[in-house]
Amino acid sequence: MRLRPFLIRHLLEDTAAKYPAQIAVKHKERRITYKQLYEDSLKMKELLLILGIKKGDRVGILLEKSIEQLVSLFGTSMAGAVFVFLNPVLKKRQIEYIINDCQIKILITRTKYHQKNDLNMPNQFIYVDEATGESRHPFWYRVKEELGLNETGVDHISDDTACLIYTSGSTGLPKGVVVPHRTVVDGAKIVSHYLGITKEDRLISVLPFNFDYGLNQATSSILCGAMLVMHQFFLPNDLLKVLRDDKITGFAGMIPIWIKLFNEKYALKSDNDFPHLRYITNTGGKVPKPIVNKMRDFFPNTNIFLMYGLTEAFRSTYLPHEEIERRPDSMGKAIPDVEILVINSKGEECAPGEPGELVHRGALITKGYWNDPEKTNKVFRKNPILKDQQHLNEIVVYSGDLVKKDEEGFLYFISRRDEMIKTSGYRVSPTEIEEGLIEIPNVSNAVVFGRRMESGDQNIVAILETNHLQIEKAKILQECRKLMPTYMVPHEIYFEKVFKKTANDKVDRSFLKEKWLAIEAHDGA
Amino acid sequence: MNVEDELIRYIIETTGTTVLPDTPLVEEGIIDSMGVMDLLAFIETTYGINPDMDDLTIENFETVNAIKNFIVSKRGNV
Repeated sequence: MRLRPFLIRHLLEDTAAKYPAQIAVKHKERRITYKQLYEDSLKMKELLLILGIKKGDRVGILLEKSIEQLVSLFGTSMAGAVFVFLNPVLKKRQIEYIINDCQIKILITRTKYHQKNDLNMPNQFIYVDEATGESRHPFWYRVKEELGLNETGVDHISDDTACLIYTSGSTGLPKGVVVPHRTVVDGAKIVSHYLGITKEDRLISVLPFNFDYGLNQATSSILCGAMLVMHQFFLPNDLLKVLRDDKITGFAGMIPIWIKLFNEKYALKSDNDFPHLRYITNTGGKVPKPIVNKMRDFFPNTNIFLMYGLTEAFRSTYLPHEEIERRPDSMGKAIPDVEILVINSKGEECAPGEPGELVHRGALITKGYWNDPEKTNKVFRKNPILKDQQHLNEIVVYSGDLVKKDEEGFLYFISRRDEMIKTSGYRVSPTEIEEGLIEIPNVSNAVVFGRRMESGDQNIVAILETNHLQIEKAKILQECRKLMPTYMVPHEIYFEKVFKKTANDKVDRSFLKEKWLAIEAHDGA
Repeated sequence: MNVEDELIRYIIETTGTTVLPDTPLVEEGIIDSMGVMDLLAFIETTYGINPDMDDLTIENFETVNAIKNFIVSKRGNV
């Protein structure tokens, strides 16, 4: 009977034993076989152990799309430590917040990210660039050759924490979702099963690894012995060229990528022939019908899978490609080994057509939020329909998304229950943007909310309290770009001299929101 | 003002980062996949050129010099 894989390192170990010479990862002109990736990961594990990493310690990985991301992921996991991916689009403020929040002990990065962000923490770095400078921190490519290939892993079990994935909530700063090995490994098995991934596949990895699906795509690829082609998305044509040249068979995208790919103004009508592309998937937000239609026009011979998941439960539903013509609006049904319940405010299962909250039951449930018992108890709750066995301790995840089920059990997204803004494929908390805006001189207060656009994306709308001071919009935008990543910079900025307050002397957020949403969006803020 | 200066001024104004003609804009993360669309709109309106899908590759946007050469070549074709 097969017990493995049940840990993340088993995914790589088993495939490297089976297909040592197969290409595991390709990035631009560089390629690495499964055997090389396995050996490099063993060496990264050695280096981390030499630097004092203990079981359960957090290791940050602040890197762009690269082979080194995977070496760092598996090296950390083999050392029994917890990896935390940080997106290089983040600025000092967000990076140091995460490092501090989960007490990252070692940060694997490049010298340029360290310098550019002037990072004062953590105490120990590992640099993966081939730089020539001197530093008290080790350079991976200089020390690599001297590190041994010790195959003994640190003992751990599938319930141990594998990684933290930072995600934004509607209030407060980002929270680290605590993901056990079990979730990552089962996620790779389940998703590669319904997408039919095999060792013949070549998957393009565009989504970052600090997104659950970006990570899931990579681990699925390694599990199946496929080739993962790393690509930093910048402009549509570069991506289309990789799809053609590398004969990509599977492509996972998100709404902002589709919008750019199908841009009316630039899109070429011809030469979109991709005979090798077996499937495309979407995740991270409901795709509006016009975009689904364009996906089908642009990739006529490719199967389209629409997927839904939230970080707290990793992956939840998918719409099989055969159904897309009949119900392009649906988010499909639960993935294998998962049940999706629709629960009304009385805590009962909804009848068909009745809106309720999506509740995820079964595989892939994570452990909660790092440092945040209160929020964990709100989202990770007891199964509401245990009937007469109320003492049983079954935990389910409340998504905060309103959905409904039709007679045949297909699910349809209605809206998010809370205020979170979905923009450019990111889940952004208004609070986090507000806190950044308030740091700008002469801004005395800020209220931020989302405006739903026709494209399916949301505009970030910021209302600033000026306290009668003169503030220029251009200046605000310039400051925002220094303080926050581009995806957090407001699309619309408006000014109020003094904010209207509620009876409790709190800012009247709903008044401001209603007032400004009634005014049509102005382009380019 | 010449094209190079105008581009540098645009980048400083929109990103808050000072750049030189050969600063690697994409590699340094000064221009990302969202910022490049705004840059494109700026180039179109300022220089009256109409890029098509084939022009939208990373090579044309790697540095201020590359963007300048791209603008010049597109203008020449008109």
